[in-house]
Amino acid sequence: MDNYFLFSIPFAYFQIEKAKLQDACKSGNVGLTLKKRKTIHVKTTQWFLIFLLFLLAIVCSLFCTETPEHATGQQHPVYKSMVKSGPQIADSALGKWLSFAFGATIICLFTTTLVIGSRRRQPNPIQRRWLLAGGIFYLLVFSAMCMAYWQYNDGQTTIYFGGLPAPTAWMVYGMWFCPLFFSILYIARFHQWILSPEEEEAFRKIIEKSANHSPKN
Amino acid sequence: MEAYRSPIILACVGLYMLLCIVVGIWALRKTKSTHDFFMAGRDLGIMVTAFAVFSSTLSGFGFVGGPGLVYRLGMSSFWMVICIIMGFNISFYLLAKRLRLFSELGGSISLPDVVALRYGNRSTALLTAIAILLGVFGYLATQILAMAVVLKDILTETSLLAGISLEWCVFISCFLLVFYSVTGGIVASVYTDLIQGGVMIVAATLVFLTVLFTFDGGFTEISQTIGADDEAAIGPWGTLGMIGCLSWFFVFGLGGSGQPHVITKMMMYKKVSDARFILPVSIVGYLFSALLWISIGLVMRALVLSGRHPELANADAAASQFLQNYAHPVLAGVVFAGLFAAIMSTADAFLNIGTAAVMHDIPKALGKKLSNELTWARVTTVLLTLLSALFALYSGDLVAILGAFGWGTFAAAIVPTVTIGFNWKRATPLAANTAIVSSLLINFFVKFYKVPIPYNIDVGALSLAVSLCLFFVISFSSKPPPIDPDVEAVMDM
Repeated sequence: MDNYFLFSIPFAYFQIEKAKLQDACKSGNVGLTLKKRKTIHVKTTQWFLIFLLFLLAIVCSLFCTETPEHATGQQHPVYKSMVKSGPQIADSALGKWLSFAFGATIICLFTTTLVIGSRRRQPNPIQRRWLLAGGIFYLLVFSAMCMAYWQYNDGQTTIYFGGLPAPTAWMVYGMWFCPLFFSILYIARFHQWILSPEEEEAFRKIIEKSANHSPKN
Repeated sequence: MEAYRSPIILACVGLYMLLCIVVGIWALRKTKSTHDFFMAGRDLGIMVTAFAVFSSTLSGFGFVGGPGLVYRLGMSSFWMVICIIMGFNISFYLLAKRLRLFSELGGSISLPDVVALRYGNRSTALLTAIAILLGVFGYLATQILAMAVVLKDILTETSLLAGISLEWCVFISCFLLVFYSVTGGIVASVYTDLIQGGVMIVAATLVFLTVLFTFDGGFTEISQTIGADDEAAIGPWGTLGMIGCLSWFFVFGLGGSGQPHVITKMMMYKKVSDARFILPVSIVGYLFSALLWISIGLVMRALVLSGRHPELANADAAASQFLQNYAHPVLAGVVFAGLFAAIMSTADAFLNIGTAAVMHDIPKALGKKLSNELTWARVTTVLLTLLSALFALYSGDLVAILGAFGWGTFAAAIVPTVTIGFNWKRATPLAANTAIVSSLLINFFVKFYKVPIPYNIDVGALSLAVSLCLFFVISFSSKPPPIDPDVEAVMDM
């Protein structure tokens, strides 16, 4: 299925179309082709696997490093039914970036999943660009939340917004509502991107045809 | 009014239960075939489907365990809620259309049915049914137990039934659940979901408003009180820390599309294009209902820390303590009815898919077909409830392990097989089978042997990532499988 999802990454912008690669292989020009055309079409599902492997690599690295004592909280010294925080992963530079990468990868996975869900017979670059824009927006909000949190964790800021400290406000008002962007796209572009009336009609014909034959299941 | 608090609460709960019985009797008339019993005749409207989707997602956990977690861990468990809009998006982008089309194409009455249609493979359908059944046992037992515990709490407050035993409460709960599930099947279930969803929205909104006025300074004072004791508790990651929270974000976000009791509702609505309206209604309903989860836990933590309320005996008492001490009696009654609503809407959904797995999916995958499926469906519903009730009462820790096992296992087994597999033609039956088996093994192994995972990464998140990885690697390394032309045509839509 020629259903590709083009990610434009400035520094690694590769494009290898299957047929061209095969031609290049036949003529022994693979290296040359790669040098000449530094662009690769990576399928959405391949991107998904790449993000997934990256996520698992982060998890593996966490297994390899020692978890500081009480990193996931400790019993509150006064109130036994509560947990009090311990040392935070963001206290170390490595932990800070590792956990940021963990969250960013999850958002990339979410966005890629939506792109997989919007695959159709006819590729729709506009739709993908919108979904990608939503993903980038989601990533930006996550980054803003992390930056606000790092400042908060260092004791630099105690600004309150909407009744909550700044990083928590980013989480509640930003991270929570940000995916509404995708919901609005789904509602507004349903017939163009999800299921057109023509496709519904085509489906009716399939059902009528199969009703004349044996049931599918 | 305060003197009548217990009778008011009991009256609200009683009224709600009566309503469920009435719906059950009404639905009995509408249920004439197995297709009606399991799929509601594929005739549900926008509101009914949307309310069924969100109220099944938010189980009793959202009303008891959720506030308890916020009280105990601070902001950490917010991440289970924060990801839900994205979770609904993923479910609708990937499944709402496909499941609806596949179910009509195959005349399917369950999730394993459509899995069999998509992969053309009985073993994949069998494994899906087994994974569903295992999860259902744990979930159903915990829901029944939760319902009985809450009922006991309410009844012991009255003078007449103060000494009622937990067994009797389990019996009453099961009777009610069985009554409307057996008589009306999924029709009763989704229409009670409509009432339940409405009750949950009203209750949660009123509770949120009550919480805002508990402290003079509103939410800012609540935050500052918690922050003065422990800054991290009111920070975005709470006391659990960033990695643990993000693992919840992952498993509850992506894993939402792997919950069979929720996604089977996407096979039941009338018109495919209704999906565009079902999504926003589901999101709005969930957002309102989740207000209870996030607000009660925080206010109770602040009340205890400020010395205005004695320390709770256990974190799960946060919701009931708040309602009994700070909410108007009528509101407390509505919320308790809402709590029953949340528990029952999830329980009946599980009962429905569990029954389908036992009397339809597993026999079918083994090449057998029962005659008079509708009668068997009703008998199986009763037996499954009885078994789950016994399991809840007498299995000890196993019920907690299976209860916790549910979400992650469903996510890890069903997200690759259904969510991705229904949108990706290269997905192979072998890859789907491997994903399901790996999800069961990882979740059971880690839970049963209490394997330590760094930074409390959720085991469901870990198993989801591993099963997805196996699914993709096996599919990429296999030949693209042959697909039925009609199935392929639907996958191209």
